[in-house]
Amino acid sequence: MLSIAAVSYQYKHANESALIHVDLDIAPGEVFGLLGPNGAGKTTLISLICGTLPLQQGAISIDGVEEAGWRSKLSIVPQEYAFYPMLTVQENLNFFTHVQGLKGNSAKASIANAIAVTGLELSLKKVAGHCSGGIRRRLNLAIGLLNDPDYLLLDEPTVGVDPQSRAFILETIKQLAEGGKTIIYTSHYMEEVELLCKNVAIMDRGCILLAGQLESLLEQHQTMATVRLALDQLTVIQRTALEEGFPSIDLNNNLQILDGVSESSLTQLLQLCVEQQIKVEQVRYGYQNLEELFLSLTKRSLRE
Amino acid sequence: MSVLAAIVGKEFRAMSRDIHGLMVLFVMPAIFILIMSLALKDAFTPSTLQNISFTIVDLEQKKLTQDLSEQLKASGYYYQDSHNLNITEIEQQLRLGELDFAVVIREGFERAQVEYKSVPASPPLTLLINPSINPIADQGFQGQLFEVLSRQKIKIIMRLNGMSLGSPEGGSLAEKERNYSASMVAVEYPATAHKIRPTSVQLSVPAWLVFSMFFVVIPISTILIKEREAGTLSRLSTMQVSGFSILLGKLIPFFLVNQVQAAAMILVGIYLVPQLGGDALQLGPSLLGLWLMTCATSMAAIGYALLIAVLVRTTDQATTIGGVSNIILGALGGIMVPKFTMPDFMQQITEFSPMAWALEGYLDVLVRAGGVSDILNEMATLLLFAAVMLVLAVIAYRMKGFNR
Repeated sequence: MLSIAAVSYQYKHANESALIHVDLDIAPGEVFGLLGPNGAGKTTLISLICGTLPLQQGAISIDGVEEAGWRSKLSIVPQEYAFYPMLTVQENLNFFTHVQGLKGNSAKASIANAIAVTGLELSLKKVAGHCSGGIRRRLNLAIGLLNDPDYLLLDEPTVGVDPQSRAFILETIKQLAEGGKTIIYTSHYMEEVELLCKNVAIMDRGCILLAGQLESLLEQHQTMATVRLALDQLTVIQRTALEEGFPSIDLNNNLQILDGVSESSLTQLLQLCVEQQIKVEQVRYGYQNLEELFLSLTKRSLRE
Repeated sequence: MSVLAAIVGKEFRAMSRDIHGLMVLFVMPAIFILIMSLALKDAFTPSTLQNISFTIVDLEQKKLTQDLSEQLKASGYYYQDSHNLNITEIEQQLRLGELDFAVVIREGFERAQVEYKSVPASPPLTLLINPSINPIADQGFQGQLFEVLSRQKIKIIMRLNGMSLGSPEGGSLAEKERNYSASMVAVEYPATAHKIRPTSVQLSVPAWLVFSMFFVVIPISTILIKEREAGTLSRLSTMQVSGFSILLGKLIPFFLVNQVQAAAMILVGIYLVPQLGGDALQLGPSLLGLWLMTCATSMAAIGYALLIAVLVRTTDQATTIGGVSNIILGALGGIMVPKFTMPDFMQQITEFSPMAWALEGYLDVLVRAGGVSDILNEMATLLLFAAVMLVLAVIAYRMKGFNR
């Protein structure tokens, strides 16, 4: 179990904390989705887990052990193409194997395994910088597999790839999880997270807004309605009527989303809209997908 | 027109925000003007002579030899007393560059000056010269010496024959005696292999070799910055690879690059320059010394390059700061302006340029025919500089969070 307990972090010269009292538990063998817009604190959290940032407050442990010794069980696949573009795919794999101290047959076996898992057999002699986005993403992933990690941290692993390569990478991640690896997956693509992850945490501005099993999180919010009104066209009378009838609704929300409206109050709201001739742009009731759940939590777009 | 105005406006805005571009355009020339003006402050004034030192060893001690000494002392050059030193010690001073010229007056000088027609079988006067002295200064002092000798000889002849300088006989005599005086002097460069004057290639190859070796700062910085931008440094950090290993890993290949660079430039000096009509570079007696000097210079250059590489943030900064600082170190280090032309305070500043230490070491080996023992000081200083730079680079690497 990877446990993150009360972790806070503030960068030097920053006015605000990048992470504020973050608590998370990630079970072995699962694909855990870490979601949030840019600046939410995902990369900071991953850097703290990997040890590239020093822990300022809180604790991170695996199976109760806080020492950094277990970091050799971790591997990160960063969002950037973190390899040498002037080297061939094979040369990159060789280099990153040897700098981790692997030699001889164990090095060969690691490289062979990484190649097989990521399907790079036909690209080994190509100069990495000349490969397609899909091959480069696979190489990025393959390098992360060289030390046969128990915990794999994937930061936006499908950015900039074609649908075919994306499907291949997602399938590979699924297989890695089935093989027993624990995967922490950060992405802007909600459909990917819904496809891969059993548990998720939604972060924003350094805080965990919501964490738990994806299915149950969606279920919990299933009975809530989302109403989108043309707020910018409201007259003073219409606005007053809304404010008096539904004081919990935030009418200053630029995205014009009124969420958290319960089943009974939805009827009253729609009735008021008809009476006051308020334009209703969209009404959704029932199932919410992950993106809508996020929007309802943060009032921000995930791709913001 | 509006399109053109938009483009021009954009260019002005972009230019005003390109701090490094502006530095190259404005700050670099300003620094250059400052350094070069100060370095050459005395080059065109008589006070430069005070930076050129000479001594006199009078082995005859007669009236004419004392007269010659007095006239030379009054010539404006800096006289360095060497009463307590023997010829070997004086030669050592010349070799170390602590002294520029030594005039050795031997037995028989007065007789040779007084005798009118006979050219002496062996010159009674020897001029020993610091081999790394600038050729212009060299010619200047030799000219001064011949002038003094000629004047002395002409005075003797005129006195004996009752002539005056304004007469036709006196004019032709002055020209004749000037040539005669040259035969009175044996010119030697005691620290060189064959005691002959070092050629321009002998002086220029070490200077430009040192300068070019320090330019590893640009490829090293560019590579490190690209690694950082691509996230490979961060990735290596998660693989428990230390900053020290990463920096040391760059030192070794660039050390080899510097070796190849040195070999190539020396080969150019030996083979290509003569093909184009110049003199061939002479390697001197100590190839080991030459190689050790190359190693020490390379270590200093790479250490400096690694520190710059860690401190800068972009490749633009690397090119600007690396390039400009190299040129400044070169200007301060005597690569572009001979040290002897600089005023005293500028000469003291050159002591802080690693290029000056490297250049002195190379001159010891290639010009002054020195061996390993002669370059120990320069090597030790360069290696210490390299170590300090490397330690600072590792500290800066950690402090700047280069692995994140």
